[in-house]
Amino acid sequence: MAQTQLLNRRIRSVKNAKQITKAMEVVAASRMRRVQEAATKTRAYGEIADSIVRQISNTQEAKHHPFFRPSQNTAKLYIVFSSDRGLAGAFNSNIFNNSLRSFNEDKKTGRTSSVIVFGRKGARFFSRFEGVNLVGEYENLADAPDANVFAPVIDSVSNGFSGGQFGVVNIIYTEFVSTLSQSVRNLQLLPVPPVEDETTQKVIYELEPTNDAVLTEAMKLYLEAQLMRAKVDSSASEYAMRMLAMNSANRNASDLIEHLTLELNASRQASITQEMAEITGGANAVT
Amino acid sequence: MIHFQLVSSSGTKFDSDVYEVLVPTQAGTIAVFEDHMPVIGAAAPGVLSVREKSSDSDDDMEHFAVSGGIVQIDGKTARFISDEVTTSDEVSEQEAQAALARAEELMASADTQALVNEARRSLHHHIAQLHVAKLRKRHHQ
Repeated sequence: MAQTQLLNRRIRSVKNAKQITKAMEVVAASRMRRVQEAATKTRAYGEIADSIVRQISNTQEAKHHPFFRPSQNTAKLYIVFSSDRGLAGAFNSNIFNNSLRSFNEDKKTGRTSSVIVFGRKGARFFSRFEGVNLVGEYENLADAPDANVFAPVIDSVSNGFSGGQFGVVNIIYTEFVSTLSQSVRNLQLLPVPPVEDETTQKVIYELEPTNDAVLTEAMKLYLEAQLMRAKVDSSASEYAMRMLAMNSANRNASDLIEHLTLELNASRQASITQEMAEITGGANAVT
Repeated sequence: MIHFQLVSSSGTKFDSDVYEVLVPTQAGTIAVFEDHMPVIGAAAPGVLSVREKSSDSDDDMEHFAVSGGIVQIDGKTARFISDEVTTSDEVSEQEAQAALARAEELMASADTQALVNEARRSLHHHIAQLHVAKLRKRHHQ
């Protein structure tokens, strides 16, 4: 009897957990769809910003600008996109593993590494991590935020880069390929990597009103578009991975319920058989 | 005709062949027609106007409030990219007035250079929005 009660209690608790994972799966799926739409729009913005910066990088003026010229400074800054919440499969651990690999490579080549991190999980991880300088942390950003949310980050990146605090800036985020496929990208943001692109037309552009004004505005838009794309892609990937994680949690819960139900039936059957045996035994003893 | 594309962080706002585009740049407003010399320009917050056909009057022009950005012109195409673009359908005069008041408050309370720059940009953008809302109202009268 005690065994049956115990099994009933376990089945109830697994059913409750299943309800929660089911709800989380549905919420993740609907949010993912919304963020996917934003990702498509942000991609168009990012591609145009990219192509304009590529055109500018071909000009003579840009070749002498610090944002385009390879730097002697070996200090490196990483902008890392993690999530605020857990239960999203390997989303955060993939990002952290990629970051750690880069830090180890930097250590071997004698570079120092600094980090600006988005997301509570990343902030906790990197604050405990020795040997890396945590420059800034940002939490609770919207899934597809306004472009001006990144103004303080762009400000500290531009100032740090111009002031010689770091010579290379990389961005680490999870690219959303499809619902079933997401991959971690570790890309160089600054100095803007040279592009050997045959399709880039050799048009000579006049920069108006001054080279500096155009380069400043273009770099602001470029950084904004890259950060925005990374954030939106990360959000979409986070929801896709959470959806899959919750889906498999759901399946595990169903399997567990099935297994426990079989065990419960066997145990109940055993107690009924025992009672019957006792009754028959008692009746035999009387006659 | 010149192909004009206006893209903001929230998507493409305009993508079509047009006769003329008036672009607010940091050196003043420039008019862009077909075969304009190749230019990449830094834009200023203001009103960007599009004349789709040469026969369109000033009242028929389409107006957008932009918060700065970059314009790339190469004779046959012109692309304008800005983080915030408001179409005349998206803004009413009251809303623009309220947003302008909020931006003025933000400007007064900004304490770092980055915040002051952002507040100034937002203030200019909302002034442009108000201008676009007024242009639309005049057009409908």
